[in-house]
Amino acid sequence: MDSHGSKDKDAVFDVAIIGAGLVGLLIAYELSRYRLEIAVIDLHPEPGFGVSRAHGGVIHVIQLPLGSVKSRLAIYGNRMYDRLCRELGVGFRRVSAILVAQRVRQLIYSPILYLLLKLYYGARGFGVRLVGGKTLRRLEPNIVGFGGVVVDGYGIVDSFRLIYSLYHELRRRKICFLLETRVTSIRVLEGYIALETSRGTIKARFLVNSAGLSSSDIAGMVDPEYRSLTVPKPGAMIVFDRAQTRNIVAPIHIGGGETKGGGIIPTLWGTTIWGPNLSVARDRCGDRCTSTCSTPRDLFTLIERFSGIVRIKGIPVKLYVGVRPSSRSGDFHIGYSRRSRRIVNLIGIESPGLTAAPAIAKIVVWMLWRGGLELRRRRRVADHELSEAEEPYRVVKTDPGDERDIVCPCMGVSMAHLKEAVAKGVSTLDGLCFYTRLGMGSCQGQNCLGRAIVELSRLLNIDPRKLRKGYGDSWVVK
Amino acid sequence: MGGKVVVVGAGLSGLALARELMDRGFDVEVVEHRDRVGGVSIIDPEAMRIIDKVARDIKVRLRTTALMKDGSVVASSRDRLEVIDEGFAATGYRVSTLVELGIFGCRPAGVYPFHAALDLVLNDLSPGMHVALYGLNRYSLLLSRMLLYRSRRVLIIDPETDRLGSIDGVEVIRARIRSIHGAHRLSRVETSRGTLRVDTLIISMFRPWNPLAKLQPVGHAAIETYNPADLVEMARLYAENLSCSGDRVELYIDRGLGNIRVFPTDLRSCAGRIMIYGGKGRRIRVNGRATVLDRDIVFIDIPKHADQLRIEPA
Repeated sequence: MDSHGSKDKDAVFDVAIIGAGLVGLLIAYELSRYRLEIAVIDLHPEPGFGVSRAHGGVIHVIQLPLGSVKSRLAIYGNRMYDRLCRELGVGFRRVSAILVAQRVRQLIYSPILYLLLKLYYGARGFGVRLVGGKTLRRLEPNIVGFGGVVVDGYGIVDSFRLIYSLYHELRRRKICFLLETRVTSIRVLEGYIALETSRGTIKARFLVNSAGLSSSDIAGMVDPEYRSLTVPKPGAMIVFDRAQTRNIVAPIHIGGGETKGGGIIPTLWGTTIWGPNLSVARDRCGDRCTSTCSTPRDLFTLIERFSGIVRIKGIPVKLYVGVRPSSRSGDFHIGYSRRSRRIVNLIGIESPGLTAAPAIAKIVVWMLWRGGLELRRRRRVADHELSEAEEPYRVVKTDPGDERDIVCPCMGVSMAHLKEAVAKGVSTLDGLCFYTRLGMGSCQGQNCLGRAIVELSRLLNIDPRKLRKGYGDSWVVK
Repeated sequence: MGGKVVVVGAGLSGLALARELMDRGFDVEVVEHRDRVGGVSIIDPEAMRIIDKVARDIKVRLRTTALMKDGSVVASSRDRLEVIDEGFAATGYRVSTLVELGIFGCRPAGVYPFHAALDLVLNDLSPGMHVALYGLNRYSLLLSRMLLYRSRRVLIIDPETDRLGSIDGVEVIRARIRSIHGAHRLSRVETSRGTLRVDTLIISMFRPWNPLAKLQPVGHAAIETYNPADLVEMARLYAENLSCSGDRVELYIDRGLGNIRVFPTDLRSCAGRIMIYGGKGRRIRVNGRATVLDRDIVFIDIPKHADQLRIEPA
């Protein structure tokens, strides 16, 4: 199979998880506490390169409609983040969300909004406050507005570190990763489920479908009625190289509409994200890149929404597009396949999927148990128990020289970070940029990409001409 | 005379400034992020001639990166980390971002900022086979000439140029790039003049940019010019200004002059010379004396020991 785990052809996994996004990884993480043989299958060369690749990195509180599955799971998931990030050593910061009233209409509406949120989220332990202009200016000196509603309990997370820390930990726990593997068909047989993939047949007793954008296609391989349940909904985000706010800030939204339209989001490393907006699925560029390409309209809608409420600081460095795997119902669909209770489908896990992910993982494990999976606790593998062959999965140690050897000046990325990234499972240039934030500052990699390409190839022990940016034939140099 | 001064960046401006300061008795240390001197001038024979002349016995610490850390500037290298108290940022241009240039589309492999592409070429790696450089200037021409030996096709796209046709074997097209496309590797760019099939795009439009806000910017970190002589003259001006002892000159620039900037920013009364940037075509009066700004960069002698400098429209 591949270097990430070897199994003989006839072996039957206890659980196969399709999709190594955050949800899939967290399910594997929950399952790895038990004595199970687990395989994680993904189309991409590294985990988190699908839906988990592009989003705002926000741990949400408010999710409409109140009482929906996604709204409730967001609350549960939100509460689990502090512990999860501590466990994995991932950066996480609690912030508030400030809904700003900038027009008179919004100001009139804000007490109503406050009462609604106070009733629902206040009762669930989140602080909700109504603030005037003076307090607003004190909280966010860069924001222009009459006042607003502050909701506590939001969070910003280093989502790529979260992905790679999970990946690293899961490989240490001997979870088998089958990357760049496309599932072509699924057969439900008597004792097991057979997955036909681009790398041969994989057998598993239980199957979790957390395939993000492909989840309804995957589910459709077993239950045809699931086939067109998701609608890809792109959302664009713009990145500035400097901090603009301390908290998440968004204008008060009056009336219906599917998304809150994103916010001004601070990141843990001193940059700012605006968005994501909601752009209706459209023909963006004709070929296979349809979903993740930006248009002038994306920029326009973001500027229209945010430029009035914030004093812009920094340079607009990047405009990028993520894709929400929305379901037609508008809510998460978490359920058994109609054919078999050994298959759990997760469809339509869009925003607030990042927030809900830890809660979804718990639910899926419970569902698998109800479906007949026996769960017996497993002992944790300590570092000293790893054999020579598993050396790369040890906790990474760095030397001070590497820490001072700076590759990317604007984001302060050192050789130590590069080595750490490779040890954590980075194998592509995109992976390196996601993990280290190399090239994400104002100079967009002008002072580091050249060296990074050479050093990464050296660390991976490959020719730079074999290095790829990401998926498919994305060669970097010739 | 003079104390220790750190110059960040061993390109043409950094080295020229270091030379001028050393000649005036300063203890100068140049720190350079890359493992070579020269910066983007490495491919510019004219600039390299100047560098070869000035660079002798200048202390340059290679692979030493200046960066902002907890609000101060530090120089970081494998063996040590030092705070830079006084110094100059000769860190060069920043490449414009795709958002600034109004380029939309996908994010395939093969889109490089100029400096990264240059580093690859110097490492004997080819950034691509069918290469387009966006922005026609001294540096993009020099790089495209180097690329001609390594790539199958090289062309320069520029939205404003009048120099169409072919310059030294490099095809020049006047067009504005609107979007880039490609699922994995760049496959095409959409321009105002139609589709161009290329697998590599090198962004070669530059902006002055000082990433180390605590240090005084010099050279391309402060101004845009493609004339090496301007950079050398600017370095001399800065060195002269730092070395003479005099009070700070109060600078008054009339609002009506728009974006005109005066260097050095911390002008001293003994300097006797200033650089006026960004006022091409304007007629101004410097302390009453009328001058026509015939270029974007103009050096003007001013009377020494004036405690105020007034720049007004003439």
